[in-house]
Amino acid sequence: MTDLLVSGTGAGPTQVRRASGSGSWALVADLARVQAIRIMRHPVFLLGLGWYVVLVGVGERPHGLYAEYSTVTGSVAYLVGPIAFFATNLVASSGRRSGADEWTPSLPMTRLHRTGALLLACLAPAAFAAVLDLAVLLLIRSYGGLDMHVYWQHLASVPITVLGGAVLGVAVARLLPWTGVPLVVVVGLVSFNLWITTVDPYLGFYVDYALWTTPPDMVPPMVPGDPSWHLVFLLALTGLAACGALLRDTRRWWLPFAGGAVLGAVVLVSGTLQLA
Amino acid sequence: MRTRQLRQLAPVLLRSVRWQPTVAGAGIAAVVLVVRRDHLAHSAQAVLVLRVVALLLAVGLAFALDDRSRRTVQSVPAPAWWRAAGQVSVALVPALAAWIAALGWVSTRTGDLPVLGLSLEAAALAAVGLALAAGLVRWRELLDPGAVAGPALLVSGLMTAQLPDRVALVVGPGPAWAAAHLRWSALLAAAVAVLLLAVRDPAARPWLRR
Amino acid sequence: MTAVRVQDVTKSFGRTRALQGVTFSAGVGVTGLLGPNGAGKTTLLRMLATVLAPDSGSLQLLGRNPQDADDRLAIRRRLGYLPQEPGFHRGFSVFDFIDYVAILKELTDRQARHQEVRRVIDAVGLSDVAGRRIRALSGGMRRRVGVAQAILGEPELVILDEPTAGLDPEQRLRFRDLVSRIGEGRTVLLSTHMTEDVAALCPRVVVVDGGRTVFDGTPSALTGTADGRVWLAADRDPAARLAWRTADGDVRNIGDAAPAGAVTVPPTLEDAYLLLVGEAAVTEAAA
Repeated sequence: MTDLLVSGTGAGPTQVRRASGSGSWALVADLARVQAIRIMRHPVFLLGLGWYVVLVGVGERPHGLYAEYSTVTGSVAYLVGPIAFFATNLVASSGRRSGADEWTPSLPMTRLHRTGALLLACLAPAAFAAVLDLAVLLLIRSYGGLDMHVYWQHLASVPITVLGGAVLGVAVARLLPWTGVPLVVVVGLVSFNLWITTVDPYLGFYVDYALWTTPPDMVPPMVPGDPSWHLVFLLALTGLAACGALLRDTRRWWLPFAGGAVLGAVVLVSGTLQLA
Repeated sequence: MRTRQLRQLAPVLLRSVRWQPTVAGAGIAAVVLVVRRDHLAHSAQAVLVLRVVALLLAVGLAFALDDRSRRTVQSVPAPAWWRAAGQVSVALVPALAAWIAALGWVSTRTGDLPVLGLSLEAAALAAVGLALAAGLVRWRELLDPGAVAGPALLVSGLMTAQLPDRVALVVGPGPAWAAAHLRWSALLAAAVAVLLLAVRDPAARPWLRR
Repeated sequence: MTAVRVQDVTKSFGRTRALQGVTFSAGVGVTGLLGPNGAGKTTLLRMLATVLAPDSGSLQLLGRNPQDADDRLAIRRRLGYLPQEPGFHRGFSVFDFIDYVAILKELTDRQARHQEVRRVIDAVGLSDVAGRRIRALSGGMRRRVGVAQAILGEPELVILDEPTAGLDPEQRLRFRDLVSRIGEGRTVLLSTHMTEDVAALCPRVVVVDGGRTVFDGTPSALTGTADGRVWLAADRDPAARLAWRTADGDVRNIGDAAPAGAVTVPPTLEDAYLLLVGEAAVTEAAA
């Protein structure tokens, strides 16, 4: 065994401060920041944003209150939601696909911590969606459009939907770690959403809150139902996905399982209460 | 030599090429067709459903260039483009079969189906997916580009439906059909150009010398 | 014939200049390629394996120009390459995977091909596991699968990038025996971090650092550059560029010149290499 003394200034090796076991949770926020940057810089996320810029650039202004309301309360979720799902899924599964999962189990930061950091990082695309949505609202109002009351719950559903999509991406990476499954999940979810909204508009994840009406500049009636309970519904679904993501990462699996069971009940109750 | 190689490689390619995502895409497409069978009498609905089928098949095809042994075999005499063509051919067979079957089945339920136009769209989507995958192999050196190219194609497919009328790709049969399919042709040509560039031998003389 | 001629070759990736004018040649026998991480060894070997084109400079392999399509094909027919990170279809067995590579190497006569596959599997000591799936093999065994596919078809030029990574001492000895036999009558270029492998195997060594050739000669000549520059002491000498405590308890110091009265010792190839590549190697060795 040899000890190596590095030449140069003659100073000893740099002391590295290590976190204690409980300190690993303190580092989760640091890791979450790193993962958030990875998600926001992922090629799929950037491609989606590029598409959004193209659509805004070549698109026409929404005409009429219905179109303006739909743009502000839904289009950002529709566009940013799937790209957030795929970006977080690809970041979460990058260790498995690259083979890094072979050596990460030996790290002091457990997989539970790393998944926790990923879930925290999902706030980044959600925050981005919130900012984008507000910017769209301000832009439309700047040219005199959307001269009507906008329900804050409808606006809030945009970042929450994106958050749910991002968290679901992590959950799919953890629970269903096979190539191609994320695509099947998205196809399934989009198909389900298209169908369920014909049964009841409020049961979907992406809700077109404003009802179509003529003439187009007449204040549209809203889809009947309770938007506050719909927010609770979306948050509970997001929490359910987060519990799923953590299920296999802890020996105390009964904790996320129990949490998921409670949130599942909240989904059922809020899903019922949100309906007209 | 290459023909003989191909015959001997065929059983190996069947084991090594990722054709399963294409078959899965075809399976989901079949479900879509069955679920929407009662709506296929209207040609607009039939066109929409077939577009979904085309997108699903193209997403599956984007996995055809996944190859974990790529680094090991990169200096063999068989050129990169030839190996890529062999991989794509294996996955293309179930994709083509599924597309022809879908067209045939839908056309029995609807009278006026723009088969050529829809096939052009399907070809363009497939080419875009393969171009994305080939580009990721060439310029990002990914061994499994399908995991990124598939989602990128699906996202792009969803976004394409939002394009405004003057640059629309997704239009129903009618006055805008011809113009939209000129755009599809341009997309197909661009995708094929990127694909050819990406499978060009990296050791070949660069076109632009620094 | 000089199988490899590299003249002022450069290569950049974006803003990173991986090679800044490498020049050397290699003929029959085993030539070792040494250098710290980031020196450009893998980039250089990829060019010699006809996987990458240089940005400028000239490259001649087996008397041909790899930038010409026909010449490149001819080179690849006489070339074997083990990349730094070989990948495999893990569901394949050892035999099946090497057979697959053999088909790609245009060995289309099935009987002769299978014979050749068995020969190379035996040469790397994997006959007992030829039918086992690659995913079930250890890392060292997988690397031997990589070596086996590189020597398929008795290539005249064999390029091995870090071939002994992951091999245990007994496997490394077997590998040295294999490489020295391959090197009889062929050109073998071997990139490694293990100076012991170079000392044991290579009549010639090329040291690459910062994208340039900094030494091209025999291992003994490289070792000779450290004569009088390695000494033992009870403690680290401030005059030393690098020092470490050995198992005997002494501190081995290497530097520009041993101080007066110091007990100098015969240098090893590693000492000379560390002195040659300077701070990059110091940082690498400390890590």
